[in-house]
Order: sequence, then C-alpha cells, then structure tokens
Amino acid sequence: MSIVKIFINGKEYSADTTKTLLDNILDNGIYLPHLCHNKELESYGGCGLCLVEVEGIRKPLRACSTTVSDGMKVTTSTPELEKSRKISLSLIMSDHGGDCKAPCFMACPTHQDVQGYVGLIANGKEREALELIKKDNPLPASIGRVCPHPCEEKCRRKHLEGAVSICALKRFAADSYMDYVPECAELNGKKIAVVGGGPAGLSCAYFLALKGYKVKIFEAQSHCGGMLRYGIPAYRLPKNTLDEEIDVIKKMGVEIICNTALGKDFTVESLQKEFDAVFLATGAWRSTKLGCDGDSSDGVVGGIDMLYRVANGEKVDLGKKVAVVGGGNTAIDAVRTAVRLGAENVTLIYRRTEAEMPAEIEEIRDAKAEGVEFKFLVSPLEVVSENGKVKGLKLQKMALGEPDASGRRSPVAIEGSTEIIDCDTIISAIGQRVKAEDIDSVELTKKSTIAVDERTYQTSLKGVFAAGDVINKGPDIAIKAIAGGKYAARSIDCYLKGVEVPPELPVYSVNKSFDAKVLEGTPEIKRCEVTLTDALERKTNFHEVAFTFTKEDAIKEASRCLECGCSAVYSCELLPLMRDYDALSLTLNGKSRQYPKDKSHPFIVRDNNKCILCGQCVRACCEISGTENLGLFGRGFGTIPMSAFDLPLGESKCVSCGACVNVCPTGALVSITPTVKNPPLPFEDEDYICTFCDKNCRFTKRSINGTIVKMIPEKISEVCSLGVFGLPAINNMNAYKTDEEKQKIKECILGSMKNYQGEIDKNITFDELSNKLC
Amino acid sequence: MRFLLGYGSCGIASGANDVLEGLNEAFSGTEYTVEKVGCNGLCFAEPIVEVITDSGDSILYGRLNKDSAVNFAEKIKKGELPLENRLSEDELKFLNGQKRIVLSGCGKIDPENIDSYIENGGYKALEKAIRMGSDKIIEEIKISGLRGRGGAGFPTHFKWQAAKSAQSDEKYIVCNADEGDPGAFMDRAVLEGDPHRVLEGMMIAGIAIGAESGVIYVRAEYPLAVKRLKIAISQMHEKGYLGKNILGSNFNFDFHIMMGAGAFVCGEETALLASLSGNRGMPVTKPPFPAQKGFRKKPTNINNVETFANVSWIIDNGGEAFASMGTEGSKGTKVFALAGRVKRGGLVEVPMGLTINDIVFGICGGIKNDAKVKAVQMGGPSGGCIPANMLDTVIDYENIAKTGAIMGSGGMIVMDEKTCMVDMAKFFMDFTSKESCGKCVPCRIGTTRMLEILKRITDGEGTCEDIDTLVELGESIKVGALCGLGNSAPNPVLTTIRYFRNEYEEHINNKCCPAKKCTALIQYRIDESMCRGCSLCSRRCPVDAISGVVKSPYKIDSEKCVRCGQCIDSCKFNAINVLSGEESK
Repeated sequence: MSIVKIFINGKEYSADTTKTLLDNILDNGIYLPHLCHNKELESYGGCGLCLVEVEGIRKPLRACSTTVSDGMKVTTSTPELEKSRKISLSLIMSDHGGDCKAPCFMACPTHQDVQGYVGLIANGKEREALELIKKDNPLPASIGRVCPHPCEEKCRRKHLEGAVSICALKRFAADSYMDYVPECAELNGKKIAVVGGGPAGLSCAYFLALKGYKVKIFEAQSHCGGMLRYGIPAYRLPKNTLDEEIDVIKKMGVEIICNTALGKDFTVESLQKEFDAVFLATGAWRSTKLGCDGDSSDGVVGGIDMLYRVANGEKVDLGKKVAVVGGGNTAIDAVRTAVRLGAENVTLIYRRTEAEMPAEIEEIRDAKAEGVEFKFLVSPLEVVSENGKVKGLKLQKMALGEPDASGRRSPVAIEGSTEIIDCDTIISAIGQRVKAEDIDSVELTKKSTIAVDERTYQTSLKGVFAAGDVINKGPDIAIKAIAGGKYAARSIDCYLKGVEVPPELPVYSVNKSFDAKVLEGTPEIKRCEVTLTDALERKTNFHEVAFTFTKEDAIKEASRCLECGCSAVYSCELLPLMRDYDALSLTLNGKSRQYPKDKSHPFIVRDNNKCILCGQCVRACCEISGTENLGLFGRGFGTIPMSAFDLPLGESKCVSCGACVNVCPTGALVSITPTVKNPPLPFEDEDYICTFCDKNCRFTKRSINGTIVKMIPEKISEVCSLGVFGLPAINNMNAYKTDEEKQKIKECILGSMKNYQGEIDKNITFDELSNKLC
Repeated sequence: MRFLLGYGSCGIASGANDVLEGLNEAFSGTEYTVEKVGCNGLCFAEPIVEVITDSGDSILYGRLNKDSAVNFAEKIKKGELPLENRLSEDELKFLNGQKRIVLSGCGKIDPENIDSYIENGGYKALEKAIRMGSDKIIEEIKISGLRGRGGAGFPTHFKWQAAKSAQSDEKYIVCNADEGDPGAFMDRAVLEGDPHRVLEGMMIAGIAIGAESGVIYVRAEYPLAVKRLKIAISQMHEKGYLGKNILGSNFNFDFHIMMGAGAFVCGEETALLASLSGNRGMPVTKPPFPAQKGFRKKPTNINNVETFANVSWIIDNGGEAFASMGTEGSKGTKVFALAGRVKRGGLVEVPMGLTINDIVFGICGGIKNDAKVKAVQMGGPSGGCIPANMLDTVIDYENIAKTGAIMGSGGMIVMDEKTCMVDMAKFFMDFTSKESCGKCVPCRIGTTRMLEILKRITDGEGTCEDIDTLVELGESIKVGALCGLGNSAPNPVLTTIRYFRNEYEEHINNKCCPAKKCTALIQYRIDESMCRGCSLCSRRCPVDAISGVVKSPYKIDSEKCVRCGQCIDSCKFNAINVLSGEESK
C-alpha cells in the first residue's frame, strides 16, 4: 500500500493506490452515485453512474475501475456527468418492474401503509397494526366502517378471487384497541384554531397535536364528527364508535368547543388575531335541489337534510311511499334510513343503470335485501303535487348514449316516454353544495368553495389553511378529507417553522403496465366477507349492521395480501437516486420484462423484475461463495441472472451463504423471515457480534418491532450461513412446523460453513441445533 | 501454364466446386492441373480462374459455371486462350491502384501447402526477426507506424512494448479473428487464403514480447479458416517452424486455436479474453489492461488478423518502406471490404491516403445501374455513414473519425438513393442491441430504447421530440457505455441524423419515407394508364392483394398488400408505383 495525494473537486486528499478511485473518493467521505460496486467484489462497470472527469483524459472514466496516481485531479460533478447519470438512471427505471409502494398505498388519499398493517395483522400483531394505521389515519374505526375503499379497487388480488378486505381489516385493528392514544410531542407553545370538527378538522387537529401544537376545534353543531355523524346513518357508523375516536383526540390535548359557528360567533379575522394559524373545514352541508318543476313543494327534502335530522334525534315522518333520487352512497343511506323510519314503499330513482351507480356494490346489495326498489333509466321530470303537497313524481324514461368525459355513458331522454309514481316524500340525493357565504375574506372558487393550493392547502390568506368538502372541487369521500387534514397539518407545521413544504417524494409503481399473468399459479383463497345482521331484523332499527372480523378471520383475510410493495423500500439504493435525479421525468419507457417471483428459498425471495443487472449477486456467488450457482443468462436487453439450469433458488445448488441477498442494491433479492407476511416497515439497526463460533464476526442486526429480520455482515466474505440466517431462524423457531420444513431450514443454516470456526455435525437434527444455539 | 481457382468460402459458395469438377473432367489426361488458391478479392466475378501463361502473363476468367468451365478447358486444350468469361478491361481496373501487402498471397498461393508460402518468400521474416531480437523488432514496427487494424487504430508498437515490459513467466499472443462486423470479410479471406502470413506475424510478435504461445480466437462460422489454420500449424511443426528451438534458435513457440460462438462483443479484447477463458463473453473494466493481465491472467498482446498479416512484410522490407505509404498519421495500406450497391464488390487493399471516391468510383466502378450514390457506411454497426458530398474525404484514421464514422475493420457499404437512412440506422441498431452483452446500462437498455424509437419513426408513429431524444441518448451511450461496442453503437444513428436529418423529419412530420423503403409508410398503386391488364402481377402476388379483369387495369388492395415488391419486379410495363407521404393519400 502506498499513499498518494489526489485532488477531488479541487481539494487535496490522500489516497491509497491499492484501492480504486471510487473507494478512495468514498473513503474520503465524498458521495459519488454507484449501484454496481462493492468493495468485496471485483469491479464491474455496469451501472455507469460513477463516471468522473480526470484532468488530462478526454473521456469520463468509471471511478470504480480507475486506479489512483499521485497528483491526479478528479471532478465528480459537472453538468455533463450529472446529465449522463440522469439518463442512466432513467434507463434503469424504464426497465425496473416493481412497486416501491403497493397500489393500495398509492390509491389511498392519505397514503396509509396498507401492506404494513395488513401484514402485521396477518402475523397476529393487530396492536402494532393499529399503531401503524394511526400514523396516517386518526379515525380508523370510523373509516374502517364507512370508507368506499379506493385501496381495494387497486388491490392486485382483484385479478384473482377478489380484493383483500382492507377496509374491514382496518376496522378490526381499530376495534381491537379503541383506547390506544398515540404519544404526542411536547407542547411547543403554538396555538391553532380549527373551524369545523368533521373528518378534515379532526384529522388536522390530530396531526397537529402529535407535533406538539395546542389545537382548539370550533364546531357549529352540538357534537363533532361532521358528515360522519350527521350524514352517515348509525346502522353503518354507530355514534359511540365515533365518540370513542373523538375522545382519543381529546385525550391528546385537543380542545373542542361545540355550538359555535363561523360568521356568527367569530370570524376568520378574529381567529387570526388569537391563533398562530387557522384551519377551515366547514364542509358542504347544502343538498343540491332536484332542478325540476315543483321541487319546492312540501315533501321534497334534501338527502343530507333528512339524514341530519335523523342523526340529530329529531322525529322524521316520511310517510309510506318514499322516492329517493340519486345513485351515490348518500342516496343509499337515504333509502335505507327511510326503510328504518317505517316507509313501506321505498324506491331509488337513478337515470343510468346499476352498473353506472357510484354507490358501493355492497351498499346496493344490502339496500336491495332490505326491500328497496331500484328504478333505473328514469329521471325526475316534474313533482306532482296537490295543494302544494307532494303526491307523486313524473319520470322521464332514459336510454344510455355515448360515454361522456368520465367514461360513463350519459343518459339520453326517450322522447314522449314518461311515467308517474306515487309518493309522499321525495328525497333529493344528487349531491351536496358548499355554504360558503359565512366565510369571510378568503378567496373562493367559481363553485363558491374555498380556493386552496392543491399541495399546501393554503388559502389566499397567509396562515389560513383549509381542507375537506369546503375546498376546490367540493365534496368528496371522508378519507379524502382526512388526507386533506393530514397534509394541511404538515403545511401548517412547515409554515410555522418557516420552511418550505417538502415535495411529495416520488415512489414508483408499475400499476399502469401491470400484467396479471405474473399472478398465475397463486393459490386461491376466498375473500372473507364481513358478517351482517339478517336483513329482516336490521331493517327495523338503527343498530349496526356489519360485524367486526374475528381475529381468526382477520388473520386469514390478511394472509391473502400479495405483498405487492417492495420489501426493500426502506433500504433500496436505487430509490433515493431516482428521487435525487428526478429519473422519472425523462420518458424513456419501452418494453419491459416480466418474471414471476421465486419464493422457493426459505430465506430469500428473488424478484427479477426489480433486477437492475448490477451483477453483484452473480459476482458474490462466484467470487465470495464459490458456488457459481447464479450466472447471467441471455444477451442484450433480455439478460437476467439465473440459478444454474434456471432452477428455483430453493431447489438449486445454492448453499445459503447469504452473499447475494446482502449485496443486492434493490429489492430483487430480499431476506425473508418465516412469519406469515414480511411487511416492509421502518427498521432499527444495531451492532452485533456473532457468538456462534470463536470467529465473532461483526454484523448489523436489523429488526422491525423487535423481530430480527436480517443480519448484515460487515464483511460478506468472512461469514457463514449460520451467522447470516441462524438468528432470524431461531427468532422464529415456532414458525417451523413440519419435519420436512425443519430439515430444509437446518440444511440452509448449515449450508455454507467454510468460514465457521468450530465443530458442527452436519447430521445434527433441527431441534438439537436449535437447542445448541439457544 | 497454371490455373489458379479461387477456392475460399466465397468462391465455393458461388460454385467453385462445379467449376473444379468441370475443369478436372476436361483436363483429365492432360498435363494441366488446377491449383486451389484463396480468394483474390474480386468477389463480384466469382467463381474465378486465373490463368498464368508460360510467359508469366495473368489472365482472369470470371463468373464461371460447370459448362463454361468445360468450354474454357476444351479451348485451352486446343491451345487457345478463350475470350469468353474473360474479365473486361474495365473490370480489371479493380486491381489498378491497389497495393497488396496483406492480400499479397491471397489468390496466389496454395493455402494448404506451406511450401507454396515459403516459395513466395514466406518465413524469411521470421528468420530475420529471430536474429533481430525483441527490441529491434519493436523499433521496426514503431518506425513503420503500424496501427491496429481491428478498428481502434492503436499504435501496435505501443501495445507490444507494454506486453514486453510486463514481468511474467508466461505471456501470450492472441489473434483476434472474431470478425464480427456483418459487412467485413477480409480476415476470413486472409485466414483462408494465406494463413501462414498471420501465423508468421504472430510468431514475430511472440519474439517481440517474449511469448511462447499463440492463441487464435476464430469464430466457429469460419470452418474453412479453422481447417486451413490447422493444416498450416501441422505443416509448420513438420518443417520445424514450431516447437522448441525454432530454426536453431532458443525461440520456442506453439499455437492453439479457440473457436468462438460468434458474438459481436467478443471482438472487444477483454470480452474475447473472457470467452477464451470459458466465461461469458463480457467486457471487463480496464485497467488492468491485457498487456498486464490478460489470457490466464498473464500479460497478453492481442492484435487483429490484418495487423499480424502486415508484420512479416514490415520485417522483410523495413519499417521505412511501410511508412513511405499513407498519410501523416496513418501508414501503410488498409484492406476494405466493399459491399452494397457498388458495381464491383470485393476486397480492396490500398495505401492510406486515397479518398473514398477513389475506391468507390476508381476501383469499384461506381454504383450499380449508374445510380446516384447516397452515402457510404464505414465501420459496420459501430461506424457511421458518410454522405455523397463528403466522399472526397481522405482515408486515414483521423479524417474518417472527423466525419462521425470510424475506420473500423474496413467494411464499406455503398448505398444509393433507394436506401432509407432511418431504416439503415434501425438495421444496425437492431444488430447492436441484440449483440449487447447486457452488462452496462447505457448499452443494454439505451440501445433498446433507441431501437424502439427508430421502429416508431419507421412505422410512422414518431414524434418531433424523438430526434432530440435519439441524439441525447446516443451521446450519453457513447460516453457512458463500458466497451467499444456500446461506445460506438449510436454512430449509425447519430451520423444519419447529422447528415440526413430531413429524412427523419419526413418520416415523422409527413409520414413519408423518401426512399420508399419503410413498408408502413408506403403504398403500391397501379397506374391505370400504364397497366395493360396482363394479370402477371396478380398471379405473382403472394397474398392475393391484386385483383382485376384481364385486359383492363388491375388494382392493389392496400390493406392486404405486404409491400414485398414482387409485382413491381414482374410488371413489364412499369405500371406499378410506390407512393409515400402526401402522394399516397
């Protein structure tokens, strides 16, 4: 070894001539992007990211294969080099088939870690699951009952027997520990006013409280909950469930003042004087009128107005015959409430067909079971009244025409074809509008909603934020309001700290080009449906209709998760580079590769879709393990690492040395533990010295919630199978049930023992081995 | 009188065996015999027989078949020198202006007989080199200015000196005979026609660097070359040119032949070495260079066939003589393989410093059917195109590189106006993307994405950003790829964009292929005023796309038509037009 002086970006450093330029740059604490280099492996030059300019040499050089010489002048970053890196990363991404985060996560407006909590439930850890859920959602018990679950829409299991019951699983976790109160940061002395205690307001208050803000909610009604309380009937969301969740928020220190309304008891301006920031979430409380002749007659009521009165405990008499106009969830809530209020003849009027109804399929099914009559392809033409009192509804018959902008086929009137139905009450459930006239001084949209910035939720007034149904496009689903509250809270925090709101960190999903073929061969497991009270019994009262999953059902259902999100999302080396270089902004997409996952090995899962051909696993298998099991197959674009003869890893001559899994920079090769699921969750690392033999190799012990998930050797070439897989296996001893399984595990953890210093009998049984190690 | 039959793979493929049979039958019982020699480079006229009269004159007969060969032999037997099948004055211009060093034995000597090589001065250089010793050999090569003929043009003496300086008990000489450029065939011709010249060159290199072992990495697609190399090596052993104490000196040497599976990337020296070692043919990062750590991890000097074939001439005639030919930076001669729309295709060896025009028009007689030349693709898939108005470029490494093309191994594909430059670029990109070893990102994915864009453009689905993306990607691949294959893969695209950008724009903006080549952008239409209704085209059409009634004009169904061109070839009245862009609407 000889030490020379080199210049990196104009500064002098000492360098070791026995090491590559890249290692010298990294050893001097200078970051240089690289994905195919490993100190323990021969240099490769595959990724092309470590290009540097060396004075006197015309073309950029790969630092990973450049030797250092005295006085060498190196530049690691120039516009040309950065552009070259960006293009290389874009090319890698164009052929990187994987989901950093699962499609369920991407679909949820508040981005809950669905795969994480579903995985924890599958592993029997609903308490941890709830703690995880509560990081993103303050009202999981309520949302777990009422959410139209966009996550399930995107669930890949939908391509098989049906989506995972994500929503019901959330409810299960939440119901299991209703008293869980998340820990809040110490009070920071800042005060925030939240106007409106609906889902958006509660959410914003909750997330601000977590961060140590003192929050006061001003609620116009007698109780908080907003549309969750006044718009959703009790048979779907019991008021006490909502109360319990609001109580948790109160316990977190949030003060709630009811019966105080904006514009009456205070103004935005008055709040601004008293508080450091103001958050507006007053909702959309006005029903849209029917818009036909006679719609002001006595007996024509708004859906939301009717639901509000029922929720408020008022006596509501709808008569015997009730017609509800609309196809959304509010319309269904209205018909089912009408049934429960004693109406004998309840008809839902919808201008398209059942297939186009925006309401949930389950809701439609349940309403039908309760005796609601559905009338499709009809539109209200005129309210027929006698002495100003509703008597019937004249309907225009419709047919489906061309698809509109949203892709739904628009209804077209069939000239001259009408009918009249008798009714005592007509309920208009065709939408809600914002009542914004009470809001002073903030800028409104054309729809009279509050105009806010899509990303920061800031209104036209400094320090005044808004979210929920009252902003921009108007009413949406509850989880959207919760997301608004959550992200507005983040903006308020940034605003008060005087920092920029961080941009959404891009994650990558192959959802668009997903080919269901890769799921072929997945064993079929039927979706676990939620148990309901019998229709005849439930239609007479407002008791909750749906039951919470039993633990047994929940575990079974959670086990159906396909674990689409990448297990390596928290350790991936490509993801941060992709973000830094904005590598998705160049569209270099073209054909991509599709491979099934190889789950045949007890400790390693191989997903070649995520392979970036860095060649580290192949080199590790050859240079470190000496097994030469992995090799590159094919040429050009189709090149891919494979086991010899393309055998599944678990059936190949792999000796389970763990080298490949420890060098993979992405999620193409990941370690798994024998739990039911391996949800990717933030982990903790700690230094560890292995005591299985006298060599005492150094490791980083990686655990999630106290479970050891991976042992990362300091020097991959110096450890044995026992060191790499022994601890995670012992940690989960109970998971191995059959003799066959135990034998396989034993063979794996004793697979590569050339570095083991000591005696171990290869014929030892699994139980003897586990006793010896424990 | 001697009769030399061109009996390389090319000659055999054009029917040399029939000619041989005819001549042998006709000559049986006479004093005349036929000698089988290698290819003399006049590929356009094969099968070829060269007659050397007793007075030493050479007369060339070409395009022979069995009947004409018999006819020829009968006349010879009568004491005549037949006029039929003689190459014309004009055709013989092909040999004018050539200066043959590398090809000097091709078509002249019997490649399967070492004596034939020795009679023509073979192995004198080896004897001389043994006497000269390492330093003087390298000095002579340095004086000659010889540069690597495989493509990169790296000074040969430099490589030899590096390998000589490396300390090791064992060193190797490797001959790169993995001629992968689909348009080049000079290495094959030399190995088949004059194998000893290459072997002698390798041995001299062996003396120079201190190696006692030579490995020839030759592609398995060259079985005749392998066969003749094996014969040559065995005859060398018999004559004492191989083994221990060669020619009484203390120089020991032997050869091994290794056959490659024909991957283009194995022409890259580090990939070649990987393949030689039984590994996947993939380039590795340099350093270490092969001169430090090559075959079997020992210092290794790798040169191309043509480079080695120059060595014995330089030793025989001196470096000065070699350096007297050529330009300032590029000395000696270079062999070019002419193909494409040129009248006289084949192998041409000329001194450096001629212009491309000198070769295409002077030696090769210009374009077939006297059409207009559009461009010349130099350097194969790694090279670039040089447009017609730049064909006065002087041939040397630096000048060719300035045009965006490369000297490469010397492939020259001549194109006329009927060649679509986008389609041509697509063809080469298809080749390189398939031949990419898969190791580095820019080459593995970059060439694939470039190919996808080119396909899109030729399918009429290109967008205005596509050209810029191609340039951006191409420049990035040139810088970022690991080896020469990737570094040069974008050249055909970049040069066609540089010189023929309007063609790209026509494809994209007007959905028009000006050369009327891209099937997605053209339509065949029968000119009713010209069609006589003979029905021939309709009968020839393989997909029944042409219909009509005899004696009235026929019609082509564009939906069915696969644009194979058979109708055009069959029409006697020039009634079928190919339309593209605006005119096809």
